[in-house]
Amino acid sequence: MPGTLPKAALGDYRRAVMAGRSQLATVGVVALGGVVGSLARHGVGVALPTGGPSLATWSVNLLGSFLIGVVAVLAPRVWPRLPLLRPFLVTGVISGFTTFSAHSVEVTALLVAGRPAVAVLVLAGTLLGALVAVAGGDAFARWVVRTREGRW
Amino acid sequence: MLTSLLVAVGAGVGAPLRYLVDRAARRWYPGPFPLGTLLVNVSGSLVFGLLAAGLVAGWAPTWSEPLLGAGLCGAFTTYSTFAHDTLALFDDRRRWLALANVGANLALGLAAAALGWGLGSLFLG
Repeated sequence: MPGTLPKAALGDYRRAVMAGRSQLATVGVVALGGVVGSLARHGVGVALPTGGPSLATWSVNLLGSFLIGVVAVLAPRVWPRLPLLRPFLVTGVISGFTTFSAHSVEVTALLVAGRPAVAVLVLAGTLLGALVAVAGGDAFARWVVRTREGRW
Repeated sequence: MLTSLLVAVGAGVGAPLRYLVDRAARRWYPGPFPLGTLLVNVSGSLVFGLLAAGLVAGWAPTWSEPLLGAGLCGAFTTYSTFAHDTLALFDDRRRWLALANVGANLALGLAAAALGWGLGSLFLG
């Protein structure tokens, strides 16, 4: 019978197309955000002095950890009608801004150069700093949400 | 300017690749451990370690650092998501998983970077 089964199948097809489009859009905004975040990280690397343990990598990882704590709380509450904002900012910009591989390679380079004490300092300093930063950003954003409840 | 362009191209591939790996990992293992972030951080550290040794040994061209290092591996791996995942596990009272996440990322990430560095030093080193 035309009009019974095909209608349901058409609904499924439309839902599948919509899901595919939204998935593609997410990949797109993550790529765009990743480019923005990585260029910002590159800019910090150019601006800060090099040589010895990298202050640049430490700085971006701490700053990015603070920002992810803030944005992960605020994005869905402040802009609930923008579902792509969180993947753009969190998965794209901030996650692209911070980097794990440069950090582990810098620690390896310090070990290869025979400076194990500095290597441990960079490893522990980045970990503790990032954990304090993400908890601080999260707590700050929750405080903002509490004090401004219903005023957005 | 050209260096920035190379970083942008690498990051344009690395960031969405991280998202897709994470999604595939969640489908394969739907549990609470952030497996996807661990996978990208360990594999990215291996590649960047290999590349860094290549730059030191001289077999990797200078343009590969912004393109594949700062761009691709830099955007593919993430410290902020790792830190945020750890906080979320801790807040969720999954403290042992939070500790395991820290231990696995640091130990395996560093071991992968060192392995990559060692392999990279073998060529023309």
